[in-house]
Amino acid sequence: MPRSLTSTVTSTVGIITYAVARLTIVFRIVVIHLFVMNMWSGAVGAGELLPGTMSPREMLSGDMLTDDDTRAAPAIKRQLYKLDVMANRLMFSANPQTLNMQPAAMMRPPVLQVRRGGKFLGLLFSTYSVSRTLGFSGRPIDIHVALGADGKLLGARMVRHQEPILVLGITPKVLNDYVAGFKGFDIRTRVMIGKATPGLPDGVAGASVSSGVIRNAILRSARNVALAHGLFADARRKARLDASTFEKKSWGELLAERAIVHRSWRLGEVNKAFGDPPGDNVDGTFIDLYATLITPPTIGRNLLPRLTFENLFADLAVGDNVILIGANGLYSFRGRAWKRSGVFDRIEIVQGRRSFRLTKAGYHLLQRFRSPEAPTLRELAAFTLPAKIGFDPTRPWRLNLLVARRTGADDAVVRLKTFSLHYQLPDAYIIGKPKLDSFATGSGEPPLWLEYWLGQKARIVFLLLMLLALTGILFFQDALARRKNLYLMVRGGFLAFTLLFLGLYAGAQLSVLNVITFIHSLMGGFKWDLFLLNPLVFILWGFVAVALLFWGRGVYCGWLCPFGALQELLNMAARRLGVKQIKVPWGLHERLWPIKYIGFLAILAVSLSSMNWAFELAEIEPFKTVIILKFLRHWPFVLYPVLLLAAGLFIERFYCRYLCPLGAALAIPARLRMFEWLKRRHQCGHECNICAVRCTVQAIHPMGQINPNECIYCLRCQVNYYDEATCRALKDRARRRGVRQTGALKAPSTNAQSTGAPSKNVPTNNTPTNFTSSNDESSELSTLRGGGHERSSS
Amino acid sequence: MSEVHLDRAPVPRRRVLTLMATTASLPFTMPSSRAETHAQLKRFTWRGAVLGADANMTFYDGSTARAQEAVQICLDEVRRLEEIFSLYNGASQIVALNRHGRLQGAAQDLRRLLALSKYLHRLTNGAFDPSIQPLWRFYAQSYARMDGKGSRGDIDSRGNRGSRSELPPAALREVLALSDFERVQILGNEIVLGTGQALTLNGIAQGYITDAVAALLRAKGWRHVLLNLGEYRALGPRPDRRPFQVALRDTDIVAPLDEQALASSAGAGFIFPGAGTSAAGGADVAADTGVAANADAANVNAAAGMAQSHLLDPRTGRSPKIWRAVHVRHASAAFADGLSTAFYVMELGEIVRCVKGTRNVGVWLQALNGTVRYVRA
Repeated sequence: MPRSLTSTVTSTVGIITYAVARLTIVFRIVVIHLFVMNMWSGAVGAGELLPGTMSPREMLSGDMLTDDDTRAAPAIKRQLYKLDVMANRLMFSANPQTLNMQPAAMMRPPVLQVRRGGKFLGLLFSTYSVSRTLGFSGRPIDIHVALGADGKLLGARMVRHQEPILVLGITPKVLNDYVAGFKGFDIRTRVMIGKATPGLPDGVAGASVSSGVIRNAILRSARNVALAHGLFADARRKARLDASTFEKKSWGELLAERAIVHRSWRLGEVNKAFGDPPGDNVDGTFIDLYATLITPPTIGRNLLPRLTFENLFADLAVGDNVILIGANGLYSFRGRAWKRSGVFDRIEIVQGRRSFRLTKAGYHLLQRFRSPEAPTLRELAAFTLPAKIGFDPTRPWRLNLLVARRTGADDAVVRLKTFSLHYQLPDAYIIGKPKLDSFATGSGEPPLWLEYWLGQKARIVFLLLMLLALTGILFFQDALARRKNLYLMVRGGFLAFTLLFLGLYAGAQLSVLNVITFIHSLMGGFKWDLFLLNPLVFILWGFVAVALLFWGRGVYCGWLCPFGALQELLNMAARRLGVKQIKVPWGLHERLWPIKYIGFLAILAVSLSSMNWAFELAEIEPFKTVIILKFLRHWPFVLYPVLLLAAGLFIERFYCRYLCPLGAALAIPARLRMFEWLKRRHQCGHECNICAVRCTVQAIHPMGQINPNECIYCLRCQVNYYDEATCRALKDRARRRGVRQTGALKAPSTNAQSTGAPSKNVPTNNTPTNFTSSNDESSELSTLRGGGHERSSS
Repeated sequence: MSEVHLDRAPVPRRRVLTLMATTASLPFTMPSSRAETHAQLKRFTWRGAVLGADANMTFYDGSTARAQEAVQICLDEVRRLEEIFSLYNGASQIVALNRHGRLQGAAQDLRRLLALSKYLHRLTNGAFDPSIQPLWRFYAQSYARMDGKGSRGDIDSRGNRGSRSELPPAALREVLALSDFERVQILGNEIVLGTGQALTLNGIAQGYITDAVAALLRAKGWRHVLLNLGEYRALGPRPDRRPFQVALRDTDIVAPLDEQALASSAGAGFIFPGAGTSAAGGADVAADTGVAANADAANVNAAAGMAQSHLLDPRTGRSPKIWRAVHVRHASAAFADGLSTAFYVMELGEIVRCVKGTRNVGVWLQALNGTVRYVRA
């Protein structure tokens, strides 16, 4: 009786501890939601943008912004003003300057182009509009980002999120600082997983997935926007022309290396292009066109007579380029119009997004090439492209030749066709030519989760090996259970590995929140990506899902839960040190079980209205404090798991038994399990109660059946099952076989040695009864015969 | 003031929503084995927007890296041409031309496009007319004013719904007289407009851009590419030598494209400020063209002032309700684009005459009741 009193007291203490923890949490929820959250959303919302009144997409889609005439509603003007303020803050750190923002109306994703005095400064966009970014919580996360014209981030600001940061004790400021820390990062830099990437802010400790999601939101959106708006076409220019090297080369060599490009069009081809009949002179040369860039000395000096070259380059400024165009054939690339208008109307240089018209100002008529092996051309002219027009000699360009044809009765209809000659200066003439930006683009970019997986290869392999080992343990559980010492070693070793590697090192502690987010994602559009972000947790869940169907929830709780392992290891140590265990009376024990189910349902229910509240409520789980944050938290958060662990010294896995909402969530579908591999004898709970007594979590009913909702699949009952020194049925059988001399001597001694298990509760019914050999399947039924309850609690 | 406003307001050209992309999405229109073959083809797809419309490019040959490089080149080309043709870019040549009435040193591309426009203008007896811009401006201004008084804009010569009667007919005639492309002169690289005239290339620029990108890809050695830059354009057949296929929206017709382009015009009616989502075209047409489904784009249009452009008949100033959708196939996307714009406001007889005078043109005409008629030269 005093024993049951003690246990009642302990249980009451446990309940009070729990209640205090709950109350603290509820209090925090109230406080945080009434004040802090409002201030937080106020700080972000009211000051600059009003999330809710207008989606960022609407704000950024642009149409609102051009309407700055009288018809624009005041609300739109306000938004405009706010966007302006924000752009200023993002780009110039709160130093107000006049910016001119224009929606890039022709392009999507929707983006604002920010200019000051006509100079293009960069782009402003919302990550949610661009990439529909979701946070760790599975809810939208929206960051406004300013991207400079040079591909560097000018600033970023969190405008909307539902990340559970407050629960972690991370203040909004930390998150804001993290987001702001992206300023100055060149989005073309390859992000290294697992290592610090220069220029990137360090992830927020304890919120690694949130950090990753935020980083991905910013970088991925920025890259998409940059690509869609052709930002890198400008930023890529690092290469420069080699303007000093000279090497003697012949005409043939220059032609071969494509320093000079050449193409001819036959009359027939041109007629065909116009859709006209081929004509008589199909093979006649319409034009035989040559083009080259003679700015590099190796090309210019080798091609032109010395004097011509000197004359041409004498008054050339740095950065000016000279293009040489020559032709034979019927068609003149110069035409005659230039003499009057000053602009050559038949030829045009096109490079990337620019077209350059060639004018009389830069025109030099030339006579001939230097080399005798070069052809004699009917027309040969050099055109100077002044540095200021922005022609880049290192990038490809093309010479467009316009051909006009008149048709119709009075030749009134003019049809125009363009024929292009493409040019790319050979690499030999370019210094420091960069490779094409290495980051993958568009749909070719590897998803974020893949980076995480690749970055954690070693851990993943370890985890897989661990799971393989566990599968082995489960498949060969009988063989293992027969070898008691091996079992104890395997069990202890595995738990240590679970705690140290899986928990403390890799942080792969599953949480009821995973279940909650999973349920939510099922309700609102399931996406693998969200779950793939954490490879270890993903693999673990995959395994748990299968194990749940095969053996029930115990496989996870008993083998893979780091906190569970910690409790069990601590309890093991406590026992070794002789700490007396408290046996919770069955009646009370049974009635404490519902707590965890209520906890789970409460979290689930709350999550339906607010994910943040659910995250707060999930503080019932000490996992984050112990495993992820390693006790580095505010003292009330530390006190709670310490109390739990202390309770666990006396009542093994106290937390698992009564409080764990994750265990509850897993226990609910545990009834679905397909295998019944835990062996029982039909005497179990009937004539013998030793397994029930020794079950570490009291999952075995005094009447003998194992409750799969509570069982942690530690296999201890199986060890007992095969242990001739423990299992009464085996002992009896041994005795019956008449091996009296050895059996009688051995049994008591091993029994006494083996454990300090309380033998008082074991029914002292030594009389051998008539039973047949062990028959497991019928055991559960046979235990229903009653009477067991009284026996065990006596 | 208002002129500047209108020029800057994003008035996307009629959106081409009548087409759904290629074969893979159309298991019901073809044997499944084909679909499988298609799915097995290695390809790289870029998605984005060009001239305000959803765009994509699918490369069936070459490596991903090469395709990515090509995408960048294509986007540069698109941007270059947008900077010439776009009414929404204050620095574009077309804006300068409209502002000053003349332009020296016009880009080759502008001259080519105007020359083609002139050709199409004559071919279609004036149904295709880039000088329709003043008419647009007129309507937009009229309805903007009327919107302030609470009435809703709606142009429809037949339906006679909305507030047509409130438009001053004399003013309309005056503006209509400005829409005469014959008065636009192309003299070498100088372009001269008639007094009060302004141009919009919205009915043809997408096609031109599509052609330009196709030519560029061809020059870079690409052989199997399907472009959708507002209009569809196939470069070569697919690698398995089957032609690319494009399904016509709201029909069970699949148009094969081999080195050809397909351009479409569809009526979604006009959406003037405050007019909600559907107006002249009627709810059925509006829904058919995917205004609802593509709410993002449609909202931009609606909020900007008016939605669909180039569905006005330049000859009458009205928006006739003859066809639900018009699809034109031709080797040149610009040509097809211009024709589809014109055919949308033309009667069947006119269209047939027009097609007979051209080579290698195929036209699918979807009547208002949904039936489709195919006309070819």
